[in-house]
Amino acid sequence: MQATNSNFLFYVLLLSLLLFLNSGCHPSLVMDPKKETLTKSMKLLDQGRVEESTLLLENLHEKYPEDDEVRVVLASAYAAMAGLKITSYYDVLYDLYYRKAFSPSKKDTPLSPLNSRPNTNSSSNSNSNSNEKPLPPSTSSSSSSSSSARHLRESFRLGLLFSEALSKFPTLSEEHEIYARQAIELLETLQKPTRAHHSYRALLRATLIGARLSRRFSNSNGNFPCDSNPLEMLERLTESDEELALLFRDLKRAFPKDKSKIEEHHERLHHHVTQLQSLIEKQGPLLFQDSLKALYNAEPDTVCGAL
Amino acid sequence: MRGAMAQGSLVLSELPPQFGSDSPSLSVLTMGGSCLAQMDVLDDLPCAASMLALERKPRFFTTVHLKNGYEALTLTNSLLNRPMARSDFESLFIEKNQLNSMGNIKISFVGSHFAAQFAPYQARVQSVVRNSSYPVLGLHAINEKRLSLLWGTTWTKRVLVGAQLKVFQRQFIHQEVELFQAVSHSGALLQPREQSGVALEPSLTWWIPSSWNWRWTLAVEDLGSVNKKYLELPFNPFFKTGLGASVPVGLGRIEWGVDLKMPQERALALNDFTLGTSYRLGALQFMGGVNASELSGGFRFMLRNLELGVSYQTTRWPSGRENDYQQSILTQAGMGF
Repeated sequence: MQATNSNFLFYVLLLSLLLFLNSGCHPSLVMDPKKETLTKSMKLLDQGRVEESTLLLENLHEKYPEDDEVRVVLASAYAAMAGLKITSYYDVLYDLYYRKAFSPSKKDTPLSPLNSRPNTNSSSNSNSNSNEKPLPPSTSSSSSSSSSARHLRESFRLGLLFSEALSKFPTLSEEHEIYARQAIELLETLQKPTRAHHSYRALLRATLIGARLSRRFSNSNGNFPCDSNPLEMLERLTESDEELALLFRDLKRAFPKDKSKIEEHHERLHHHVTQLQSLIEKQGPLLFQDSLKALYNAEPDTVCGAL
Repeated sequence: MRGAMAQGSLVLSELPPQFGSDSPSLSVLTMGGSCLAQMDVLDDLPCAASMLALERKPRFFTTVHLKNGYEALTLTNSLLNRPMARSDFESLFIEKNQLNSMGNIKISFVGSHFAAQFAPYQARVQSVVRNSSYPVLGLHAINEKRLSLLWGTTWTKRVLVGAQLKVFQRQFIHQEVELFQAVSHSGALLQPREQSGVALEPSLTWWIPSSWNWRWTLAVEDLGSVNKKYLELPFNPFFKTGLGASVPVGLGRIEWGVDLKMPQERALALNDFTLGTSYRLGALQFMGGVNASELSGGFRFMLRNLELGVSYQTTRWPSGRENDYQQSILTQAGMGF
């Protein structure tokens, strides 16, 4: 009996040893070198060692020039070089799309400033126009001036909302702009971009546009955009037209179910900007600015009035 | 058991390796997970059914255990049962970008030849966010209900044998999610999986009755089947072995044990070794344990039918930051008869 027990235990121990050796000999699932470098570079980014990470990723990009995963992480390293902490403002894109800047307003009527509009004292419009106060007289007839005022209000409201939303993006110095631009260009080269990638590119592009607008508009006494020169703001919005078109393209790709809605918003913004420019040409810049001042005084609940 | 896919993923490999469906009690956790050959596991089932033969008197007890509070566990329950809401998303990505929580409720009976346990709730959540410029979340969340039936007896004077039957049902998420995926996708982004299974886990203990009371245990775990197999949470049988001893010291007794897990699907790692010790002095039990990524220490106090325990644990994460250690508080309350 004792010999049987001892033999049994001997075999158990031998079996355990064999199992131990066998588990050690199993092929292990070792992370491949590319993923290992990517993980290491992400760790460096989290540690704040951005330049080291960027160098590592640029070398990896040379080895794997067609790899989307490498491109995305390298783009994020460039975004980090631009000083962008995405988690601190990612929701601006979410809000930009889903909230104020793009919510259609009841007052957001189609704009035709050069055509006469029905008299604003009619009963059908009495509720929406109950807070309207007359603007200073212009050289036009009274009916077309109040029509122009309404259009001006609507167009400028939309422009202000858009600019206000863009002002929530972080500011970038011109040096940092270069890195943000590099990130965007890299993301443009993705072979199979996902909706997440389009969202990221849209956010970076919006950051670039917003930073450029706020840097050129802000003055020492006031807040962007309300204390900015509206003529200059319109000029800059026009200059950013191509960039804005790309932004809306990215948004459409990020949110394909809302493509038609996004297109409509883009067209509305473009249309209002164009119409404002027509108003300026028609009224002249000085009178246009006077009209805006009167608008602020007459409608304290505008975006800027509330600030 | 660590998911096989974690080895190839960028962020899931950053989670501490002690994830899986196991939800041990406070004493087992504090002893680093080392319990196969330990006799003084008083707030849970013996880790090996063969150790039942060494139980001195029957006991019935219930325990409620929490690691790092219940807030993260509430989030876990939400994630497993409904599509991710924006508030969950903000919690995971922005507010709490590194989670490590656990909780369980257990009702147990342990006798000298038979034991049973019903755990209606065993939850664990671990998450980490990497790369603040393009944030990616690695999330492991699991909730399991389990019924365990154990049988153990002496085969010879020195050899104890036993077997555990384990029936479980669990939901889990083991996934990487990019922040921008969450922003641009509507509907369910996280994919909770469900799995049910049964396992028979035999064990054998060689016991040398002596002043040191040496014990060596060999056990097989997860020898069974599941209704659905997932690469993220493999269910393959594996061997575990443990060596333990106990010796009277002063008015109490010191126990120590070292365990080794031998997984099938990967090579042995340092984390598969665990070392634990406890000193029982009347109604008090002091415990400590260590493995490659955790260091723990704590105590339990048992007065009449009530039990309270507190432990402190330091976990070293495979970190994005140097010396990334997370501190955890484990608490447990229980009632026994």
